[in-house]
Amino acid sequence: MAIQKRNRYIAALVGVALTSPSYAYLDPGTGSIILQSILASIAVAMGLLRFYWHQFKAFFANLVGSSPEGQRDHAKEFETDSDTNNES
Amino acid sequence: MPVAMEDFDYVRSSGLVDDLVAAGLLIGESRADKALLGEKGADAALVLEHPRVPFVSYPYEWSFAALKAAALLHLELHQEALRKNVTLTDASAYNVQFQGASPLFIDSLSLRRYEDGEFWAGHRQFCEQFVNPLLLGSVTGVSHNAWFRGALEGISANDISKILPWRSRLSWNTLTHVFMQSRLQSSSNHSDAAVERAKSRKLPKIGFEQILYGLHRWISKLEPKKGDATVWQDYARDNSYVDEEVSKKRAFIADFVSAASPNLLFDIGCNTGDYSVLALESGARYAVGFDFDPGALDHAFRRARRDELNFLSLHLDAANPSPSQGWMQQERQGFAERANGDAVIALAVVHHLAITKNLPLHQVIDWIIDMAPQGVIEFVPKSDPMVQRLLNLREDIFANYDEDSFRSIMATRARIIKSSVVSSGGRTLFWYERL
Repeated sequence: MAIQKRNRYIAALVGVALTSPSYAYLDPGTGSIILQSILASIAVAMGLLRFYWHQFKAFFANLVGSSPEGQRDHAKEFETDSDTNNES
Repeated sequence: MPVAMEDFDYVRSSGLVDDLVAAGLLIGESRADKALLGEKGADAALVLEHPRVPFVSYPYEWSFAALKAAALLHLELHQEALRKNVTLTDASAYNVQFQGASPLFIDSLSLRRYEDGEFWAGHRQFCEQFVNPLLLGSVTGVSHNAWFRGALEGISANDISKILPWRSRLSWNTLTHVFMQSRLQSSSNHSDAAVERAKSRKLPKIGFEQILYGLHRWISKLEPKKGDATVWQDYARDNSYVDEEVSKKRAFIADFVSAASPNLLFDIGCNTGDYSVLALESGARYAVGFDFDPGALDHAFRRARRDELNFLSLHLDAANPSPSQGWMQQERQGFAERANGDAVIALAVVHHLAITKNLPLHQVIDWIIDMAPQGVIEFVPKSDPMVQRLLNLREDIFANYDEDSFRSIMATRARIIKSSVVSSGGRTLFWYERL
């Protein structure tokens, strides 16, 4: 009796541990999930590319001695993006 | 505490609901006494009360412009929600209703806490209920209404990808959201491994935001495919009325509406909405216009949006109105179940139903009179050039289609308050009160 009770208790715990907070109100569809991963990777890659492109431009701009103002702005722009990301 | 209640509190404490309601994106809500629901309310954690939507409509009754406005609302609301770490459980088009031409999100309980890394569960549904029907209109020029009405969940990526021309793959968004999604879905359909992999994936929030942003930018540029002008769009200048006759007709309608002062007026065969607008100017509080012509409906919707009118234009094939359908045939109400107005105007409609569609005149009259306790019906006699045109290529089997028959049928259902001949061809308006 006692064993049975404990088993039930453990089963309940396991149940809680395995129940991730996924809200399967609706079947999202594997196609949609894979597509979203791809689109997200592209979006992030484009963001990085933009960041490095600005760095690259800023580096050369510094070499010719133009204002570093733009450089800071661009760096800030990407920081804001990734900050939002980290917060989430 | 039930999960839904935790989400409810979380979303409200974020301030999101207040902000969305204030911005006019989300329907208002207030907590109501559980006793209002009687026994049904006993198990409820809470009972909410929303303001009444003037007229409930469904995406298969919306014009292209209306469906597009609803899609953009969905995305804007979701973008706003994500900023406060809130997301939506689904992306159902049925969660949007209209107040005039302004879309309004009505399912405030589908807002819930956003979990870091989660996917947009409603992406596929959003594509099926918004993107694919809009693409149908935008790429092929076929309006979505008939298909959507037959398939309440919308148009699948697989189906639309078979119809879109090859060149539509040149659009990055169509390529990804339609063709790639369809391919990925069918290739992973029978693979448990693919499902497992999908389950273990995470979507960074910035990716989520980018997808919503990209869809918004794309959809806001979609327009119905330009073709020949549709039938009724040209009606305003192509009918058998002359200006003086139009002013007579307008004066009659204005008199009727100001006397009736309806909260909800139906305009059957509204075309681009001239008479609905006149009705609003004459004291109607809300007008719902019905027509089957997509071009006219789009025009009417844009006009209502531009001028911020309490006017909603919806698709209706009068000979085959929206049925009660969906689960247990009760999920979406039919036209007859919803058509309870304070007044109705049916101008230049009766002859199309009685002659073009071969419907018995008394049934046509009954159908209109059942919608509201008072109204105006226009009778267009055989002497009118429009009716002549309808009879041009067919045998005149309508021996009883004349004003006398019309009057005697009307007399069995209504009291005629006033009638007036408004055209040289003998078109006559009848203002009536239902018996």
